[in-house]
Amino acid sequence: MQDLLSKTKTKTATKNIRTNNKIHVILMVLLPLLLFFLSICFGRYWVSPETVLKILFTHVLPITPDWSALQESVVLSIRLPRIILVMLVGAGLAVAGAAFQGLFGNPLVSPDILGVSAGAGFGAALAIMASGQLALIQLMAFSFGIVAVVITYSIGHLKTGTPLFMLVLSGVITGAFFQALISLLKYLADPNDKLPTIVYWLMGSMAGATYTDLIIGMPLILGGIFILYLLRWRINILSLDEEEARSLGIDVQCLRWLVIIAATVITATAVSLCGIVGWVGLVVPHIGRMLVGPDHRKLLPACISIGAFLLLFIDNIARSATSAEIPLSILTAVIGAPFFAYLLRKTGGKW
Amino acid sequence: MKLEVENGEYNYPKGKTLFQRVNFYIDKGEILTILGPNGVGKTTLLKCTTSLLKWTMGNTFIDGWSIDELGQKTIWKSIGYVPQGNGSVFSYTVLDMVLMGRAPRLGLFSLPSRKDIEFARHSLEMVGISHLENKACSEISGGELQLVLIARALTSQPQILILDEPESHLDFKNQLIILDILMKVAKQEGISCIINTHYPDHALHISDKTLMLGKNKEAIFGKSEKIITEENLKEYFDVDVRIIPFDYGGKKLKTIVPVAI
Repeated sequence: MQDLLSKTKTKTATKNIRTNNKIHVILMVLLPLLLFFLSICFGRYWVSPETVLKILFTHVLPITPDWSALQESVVLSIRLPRIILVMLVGAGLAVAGAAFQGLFGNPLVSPDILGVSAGAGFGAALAIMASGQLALIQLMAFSFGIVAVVITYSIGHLKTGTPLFMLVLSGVITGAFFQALISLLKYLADPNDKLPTIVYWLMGSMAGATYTDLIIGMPLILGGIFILYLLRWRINILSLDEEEARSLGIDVQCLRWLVIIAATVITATAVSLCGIVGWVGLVVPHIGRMLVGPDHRKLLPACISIGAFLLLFIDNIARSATSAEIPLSILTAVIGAPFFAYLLRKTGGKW
Repeated sequence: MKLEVENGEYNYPKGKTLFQRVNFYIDKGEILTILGPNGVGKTTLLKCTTSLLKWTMGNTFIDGWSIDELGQKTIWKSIGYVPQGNGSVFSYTVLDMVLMGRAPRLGLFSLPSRKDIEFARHSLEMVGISHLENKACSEISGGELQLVLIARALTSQPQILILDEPESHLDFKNQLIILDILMKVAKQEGISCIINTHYPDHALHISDKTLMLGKNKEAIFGKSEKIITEENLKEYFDVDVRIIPFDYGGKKLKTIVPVAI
């Protein structure tokens, strides 16, 4: 009898967990979509949801335009590409962060641990000094982001048995080196013209996002996310001791490099399109773990949703709180740091 | 399945020899214990045997095949390895942890299916911890974690189980639980077991064969009763011991008491 009782109890318990899971899944799909739609309406120039819907579907459905050219331009040319880019970058950085935290078996790692952001920042600053052309800035940022990771790799030279912290330390070295170079460029830059551009760019901004940005960035970021998403169960195993992972038949070297390449491409692309956006890659995986647990099979999809949602929310504040744009990194840190502190206190450091 | 080590030798990268001329073999359903004092390289020997470390000389053969000729995937389908229990940074649930044992049998991009989950549940049942399924690995005791790791190794359906000091750091009851499970696994499922241990008692209790290692001494290998003797223990562990036989419920058992250094 006792046995039967406890059995039914566990059954209802698992049932509760399952319905909870279903609600989680539905919320994680719906909330970002809802915010996506609201964000198009929202801003210093309010466009009614009805008008937004009409404008969005104007090319698909036969709708007679009853809105102003300004409204259409705000919705289609300014807000839509920006919002899509924000969601892509948010999702990408969050997934890259979660994958790196799994790979290094360390929940305090962020996607730029291997120096990619510092490298990309230097590339961008160099391009701003040289010409200031947007395409050149993006190309240089991306290339130097990759170069930084390659340098980190050659210093930390990962072989079977080399401890992973070698790679982390090499990342710290590379990052510090490129930070110094950035400082040098700032010091040399013309304080009336180039310096503000560099500083502003390094703080991250989504302003001026265009469809061209999306055409370049979308395949790279989505590709990276897709690879990490496919590897999500293997990342569980990768987070164990190296020998333990090998004894589970995993080619640890190969898998590590797949994860590093995918995460680096995501981060380098994000930085080259909108500057350095801190905190998202560090904090979002923690929120994800609180909601769905540490299993990367669930954590990675959760990070896609939470990352997109959170960065979009913050960017909405960035573009509408004041008449001038607030740089993204300021807001992600101002909101992210206290929130992270709260999470740490609440979970007591159990991941 | 038969596993054989021929002329195993391991040198540190700087050239110092840890052990040499190690020979042993194990047949289906047998239990082999590796005994030896601290620092003679028992863990290293196990790692070399499984190809986690490379032999300096000699080799491991599985059913006559040299282990270098077999791919990593093939090796880890036949060998289940249970490391000394260190948990993960992330508190995966017991079921998720055990499920990882399916990895050698799944492709790079595939996820474990319902069937794989059934295999995981089956191994949880085999080691008697089905009730822990949804617990986080950080919330269970050291003995339970060891059982989780054994269940994980069993989940890959290996023919040989290799365990690195599975019963150290555990209390009497948990030690017995582990030993009973190993006997069950070997005798009922026909899975051969190789274990490292600090306890000659345990070796006498469960193992068919014993390999004894000593500092700067030739390793000896044979039937457990022949290897675990007062003379050998004196020579290899440098301790005077008495082996005392006694009856327990009609069974003849032996206990080993260290008496003097």
